[in-house]
Order: sequence, then structure tokens, then C-alpha cells
Amino acid sequence: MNGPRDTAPSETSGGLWAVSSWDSDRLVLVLHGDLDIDTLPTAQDEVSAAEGQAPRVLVLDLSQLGYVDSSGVRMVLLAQQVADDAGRLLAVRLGHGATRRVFDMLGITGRLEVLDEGEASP
Amino acid sequence: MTAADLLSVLPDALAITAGADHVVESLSPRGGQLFGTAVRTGRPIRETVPTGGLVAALDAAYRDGETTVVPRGVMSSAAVPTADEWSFGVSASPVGDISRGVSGLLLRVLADGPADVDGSRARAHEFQRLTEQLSSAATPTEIGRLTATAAATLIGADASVVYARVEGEDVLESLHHAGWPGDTVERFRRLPMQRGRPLSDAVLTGRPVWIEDAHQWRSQYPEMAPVGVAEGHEATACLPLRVESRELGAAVFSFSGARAFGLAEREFLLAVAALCAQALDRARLYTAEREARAAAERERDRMSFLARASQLMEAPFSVEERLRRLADLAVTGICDWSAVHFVRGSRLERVAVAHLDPAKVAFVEELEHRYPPDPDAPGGAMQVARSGVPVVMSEIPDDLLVASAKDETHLELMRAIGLSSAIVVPLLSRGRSLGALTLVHAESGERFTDDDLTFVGQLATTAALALDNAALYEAQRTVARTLQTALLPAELPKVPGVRCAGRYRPPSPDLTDVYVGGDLYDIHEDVERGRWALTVADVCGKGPQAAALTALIRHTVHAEVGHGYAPADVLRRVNTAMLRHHGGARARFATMVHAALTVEPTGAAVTLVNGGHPPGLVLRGDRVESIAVPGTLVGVYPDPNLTEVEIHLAPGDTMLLYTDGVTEAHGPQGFYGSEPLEALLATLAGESADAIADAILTEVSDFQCGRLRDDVALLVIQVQR
Repeated sequence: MNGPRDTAPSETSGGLWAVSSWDSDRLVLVLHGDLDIDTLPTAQDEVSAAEGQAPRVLVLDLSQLGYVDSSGVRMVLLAQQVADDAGRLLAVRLGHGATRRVFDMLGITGRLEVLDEGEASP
Repeated sequence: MTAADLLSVLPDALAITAGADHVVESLSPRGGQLFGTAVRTGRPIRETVPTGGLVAALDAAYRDGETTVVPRGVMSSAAVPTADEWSFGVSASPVGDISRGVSGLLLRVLADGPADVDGSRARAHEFQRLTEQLSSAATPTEIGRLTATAAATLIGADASVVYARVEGEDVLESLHHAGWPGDTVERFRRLPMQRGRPLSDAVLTGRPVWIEDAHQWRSQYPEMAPVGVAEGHEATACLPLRVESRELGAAVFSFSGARAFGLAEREFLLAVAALCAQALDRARLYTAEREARAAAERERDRMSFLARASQLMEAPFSVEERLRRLADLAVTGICDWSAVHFVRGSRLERVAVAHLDPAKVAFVEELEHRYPPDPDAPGGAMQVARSGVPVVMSEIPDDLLVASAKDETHLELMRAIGLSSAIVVPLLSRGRSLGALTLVHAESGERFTDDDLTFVGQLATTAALALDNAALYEAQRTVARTLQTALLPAELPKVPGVRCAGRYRPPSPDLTDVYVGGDLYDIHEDVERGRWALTVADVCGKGPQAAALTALIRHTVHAEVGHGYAPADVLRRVNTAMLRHHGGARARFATMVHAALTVEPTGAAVTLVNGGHPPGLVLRGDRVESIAVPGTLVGVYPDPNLTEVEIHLAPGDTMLLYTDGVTEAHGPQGFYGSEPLEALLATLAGESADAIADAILTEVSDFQCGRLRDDVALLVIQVQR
């Protein structure tokens, strides 16, 4: 997924960083570290920057996060709303660990375009 | 003092020589004029003027360290290239460090001929002594004393006074005086300068005023003549003390009877005045430098004090403790006593009083106990706090003590404290006066002036800001607590046959901003249908908006349960209400578990629905079951998936509903998680609902070392056996 247009990892606060790359018409934003109330502003900035590039599909890859709480869910819900309003698509990768469990518990996995849904658990 | 300096201040100086061959180090213009080409700078006099009495006299002075004199007429020599015979006398005085011996000689002209030889010698000697003494005198007073004494002993002045000009003012102040009759000294201790008076004329014109007898007094200064000639005084010399154009003051020498000031005498006195002026100028610079250094040091100390005060105001203490420590800090270098007062309604409360000596603090506390201070005393903290206007008392007048004393004993005790100077500044914040800061000098003898207002004002501002922030913070916390309380049931209703326990724990204040949580637990009765509604909810986010949603959820549940809706429909209606509440924005969502409980003879029937919430647990004996029922969070999608499940609770069974503040608890060992919770619950078999709720709260708190990052809500439902 990492192509020549990869950005350098953004130095961010509180153990959260992001790497974005283009995959055809998809802009993929991979978040690393922990996503909680403390790191939400940083993550939100990254997402807003990605949205600013108006990709047809924005992929938020949360599968590499060590931890995500309701703040992260809120961020995804907001991004989905932005995409809906702009007539674009939002997709997520949730992995098969804690992040996935959080989204499952909230009952919203089925309401998101989850790219790694059918993939086998690692 | 350098050789050149000496030559410049001595009008009769001719030259300065160095060494046994009397090499001329420097030659004054007058020396060059009188000696002609025979004496030249850099050449030894032994070579250029080999014969006659001069070299012998110089040799003697150099050898013996005593002033020698070559009277007029003795110095002529055929060897001198100039045709004219030298018609002047010369005195040679040794110069150099007394301890290391004579290094050279000072040659001066003897203007008055042989008759004055002894006087000239003595004067040269005295002059040298005065030079040495003045060079080590540091204070203007000492310089004045040395100058007056030297002149008086040498010239025989009967009275003398040395004045210094007050910097920046046309006023002269006496530095030293001696020998004046009656009240003259008192009358002329401080003199405004005024043209037409001898002393002022001398200072203003820079030229000496010589008055030789009573006649001259009356003709030149008729207005001052009565003073000038009082008690037999007549001749008077008023000599300006100047360095470059700086008017430093004047010296006055007065003599009994008339006296014609001879040239040598005039020159000697002028030389003494010049020496005195240079010494005064040096002292002035020294004082100015010392004061500048002291001012810089004081400023530095104050800046560091302010920095420490600022740190203190951010320290994790209560407001009172911070102010007590501020008061303690103030007495370590700013003042002897300090106090802080708060305005509390119409009263003034002293929150701190400090002195380095605890016994003195105890004394004052005892005093204030016996004699409660009058809050309306002028210049007091209350007045300053009310008016917002600071008060500087550079001196605390005894009248003030007398006025505020309740009785004689009180007065004595107050005097005993020895307060000498005080400054009281209001603690102002956003235009409101919160109290006052009082700093007092006592035994140190120091004085506050208006100049101190800036610094003390800065200190008060620092304190007031911290105080104000703390007050705001307290107010916000009170609002938050009140709001939180309104969101939770005051007490759970009594459900027959069922024991219920609800718990809420806010996050630790130091780990969050002022907090109104989004967690909720509630039980209320559906009277019509004979059911009980159970609710545990968690609104995403914090603060007033989250609290508003929590309130919305609680009241919507109450209303819809009352309308008879089943649990899943209640949640759908909550979902709709939330969507309506935030107008389509998805940012705020909530998770909630909601159930309808019906008490039955065999236990309790529970119909439960879960909107994205952590699954409830049921404890049956020592087995724990998870109520895994899927459902969509509420407040985001218009069509949430919500499924009701039926659960039967047998007598002794316990159901636990909780928010993610339990399972997402984050401590040094990572996340708490759902498995430890299930394991813990299993160990609580047989415990009461309250004991189970408390045990879980304790465990969650301990897991995070007592510091909760997120709030926690718990509801424990236990069917009685």
C-alpha cells in the first residue's frame, strides 16, 4: 500500500501518528498508537487534512492502533458524515483485535464500509 | 591621586620629581614659566641645575622624608641659562607611599618669601597628610570633617563648615561644621541657594568669595553682615567645591577679627577646596554606583521573589495554604511582617499572618484575640479591600496606634510590636477586590515608599489571579457536582423482592478538567404495568453538552416507559429524541442498556435491550454469564438494530450492568477488560448487592491506583432468596 507518494509519519502527541498514501483513487490514512480523548485532536487533524484532499474514497485504517475508545468511534462517525454530505465514500479497516471488538460492541460494524471484514483473522 | 592630579589642584605646584636625581616627571605651566628652560620634563634636576641651594634642598627632602625650603634669592645660579635670577622660593615635599619610602618630591613655589617659610613647610606637610586621608575617606561627612579640620588647624580658622549641594536641588546641606557661635549651625544646616549671599555666590559663580573684615561684610553683603560678624567673627573665605562643571558644594572658613588673606593662604585654601571637591566627587560616584548596584540587586531579588510567588500560586495547595505560604515567603526578605485578608461578604477574614519569629506571630494572634481589630480602621486591610486603593505608610505614626488602641494596655502592646512602615494593597481581579495584602516593616527599620507600590502591586496581582482562578474552579466544580447529582437518582426505589445497588464515581479531579460525566444509572417504577425500568447509559464525551444529553436520555426513558413502550421501543424513541436534539449531527452518541423487570414468584423476568453498550453480566451461584445481545448505539442512525432478550433471574441471582469506565479502566498493568470483571464477580457469589457494587468499585479504583480516568456507573440487581 505504501507508494512513492507516502508522507513521512507525522510526529504527533500522546503516542499517535499517521501515515497517508494514495492507492489509485483511494487515500489511505493509517493510524498508529493509541486513539483516545487525549490523542483525538491530533487524529482529527490528520483526518481533516485527508478529507481536504477530496479523495473519492477515504480509507481510515484503524487496524494498527493499539487502543481505541469511544473518541475514535466518534471520529469515524464524523468522517462518515463528512463523506456522506460530500457524496464521497468512507471505508475503514478495523483489523480483528480490540478495535474491531469496540466497533462490534457498539453495533456499527455493519453500518460502515469495512474493507477487512471478510479477511481471515491473522 | 596621580602626579598630574596633584599639579592640577595645587595652584602653587611647580613640578613633581622622581628618584634621587630628581628626574622631572611632570611640570606645571607655572613651573615651566618660573623655571624657564633649566628644568625640563624627563631630565634630572641634578644635571640641569647642578649648583646652588636647590639640589641640596631636594636631596635633603628626599633623604629625610621632610619638607625642605629654598628661600627666595638662594636659588640663583650661574649655571642657569636664563639671565634672570630666580626670584622665588621653592618648597620640596616628599611624595610617595609612606610605608615604601619616598619616591619623589613635590616642588611648590613660596610666594611670600622667607618669612613664610615655616608656614609653607607646615602647610605642604599638612596638605600631603590631607591628601592621604581624603583618599581613604568614603563618606561625604568624613570628607567634610577632614577638610574643615585641616584648614582650621593650618590656617587657624576659628570656625568652618563644609556644605554639599543636594543633588538636583538648589539647596546646600551641611556635612560638617565646627566652631560656630550660638544657633548659627542650626539656622544654616540647610540653605537654599540665593544670589547675593557669599556662599551662594561662590557656588553659583565657581569663584571664591574673600571677605577680610567687617567693613567688607557691610559693603558687599549688608544683608548677611550681622551673621558674618557675629561674636567677633570677621574674615571669611567662601570657597566653591567644583569638579569640572559639577557644583558639589562649598567650604566656609571664618576667622576672629580681620585678616588679609595672603596669596599663599589663598592658594592653600583653594588647594584644600580642590582636594575636598575631588574627594566629594569620588564619594558621590561611589555612592551612586553603590546605590545603583543595591537597586539592581534589590530588583533582582524582587524578580526572583515574584517568580517564586508565581510558582507558589500554581502549587497543588488549597487557596488558603498558598496564601499562607506567600505570607511566609514575604517575610524572608521583603518585610518583617505580612498578612493576607479575604473579603467574605461584609466581613474581613485574616487567612495568613507571618513573621520569621513564631513567638511574635503568637503574640499578635493573642493580641487580636484579646482585642479584635476594628475592620474599619483607616489604612486597614478592610478599607483597602473595599476601596481598591492601596495605602503606603512610609511611617506608621504613633497617633494611628493611639487612635486604634482600645485601652492603655492595648496601646502598650501595639507599641511593643514596633511597626514602623506599612504597605497595604488590594487583591484585585477583574475589577473585583477579593481582599488585601499587607506588608509591614518593624525591627528592620526599613521604610516603604511609593516606589514599592509597583512591586507589591505585582505581588498582589499574582496572588489575586491565583485566588480568582481557584474560586472559579471551585464554582465550576460545585456546578458540576450539582448537575451530576441531578442526573442520578437521589436514592433507588425499593423493589419488592429485589435488592438494588447503584454506584457512580466521577473521574479524579486531577486527571480531567472540570467534569460533568455522561454516565447514568437509574431505576424507576412503571406503576401501570407493575414493572421496573432499569437503565445504565454512557454518553460519549464530557462536559455540559454530554450532561444535557444524559438528562435528555433519562427524561425520555421516564416518559416513554410511562407511555408503556417496550424496552427496544424506548431506546428507539431515545434515539429519535437524540437525533432531533442535535439536528442530524452524529458527533454525540450514547450507549445504553435498558430493561423492564417484573417481579415473579420464582424470581424476576427481565426484558433487556442493548444499544452498543458493554454486555451485562449475570451471576448464578458462582457462575457468570454474559448477556451478549447485539444492538446499535443510540443517537446516530435513524434505524438502529435493537433486539430484546428475555432473562430469568432466579432467587439469589445477581445482574450487573455497568459502563465502560469499568472494563476500559487503564492502570499500570494495562486495560482491565471484561474477563477480570467476570472473574471478580464469580468470587462475589453470596455477597449482597451493595457489597458486590462496592467490591467492583474498589477493584476498578485500585487497578488505576485510585485515580479514575473515566467515570464509572454500576447497577446491581439481586433477587432475594
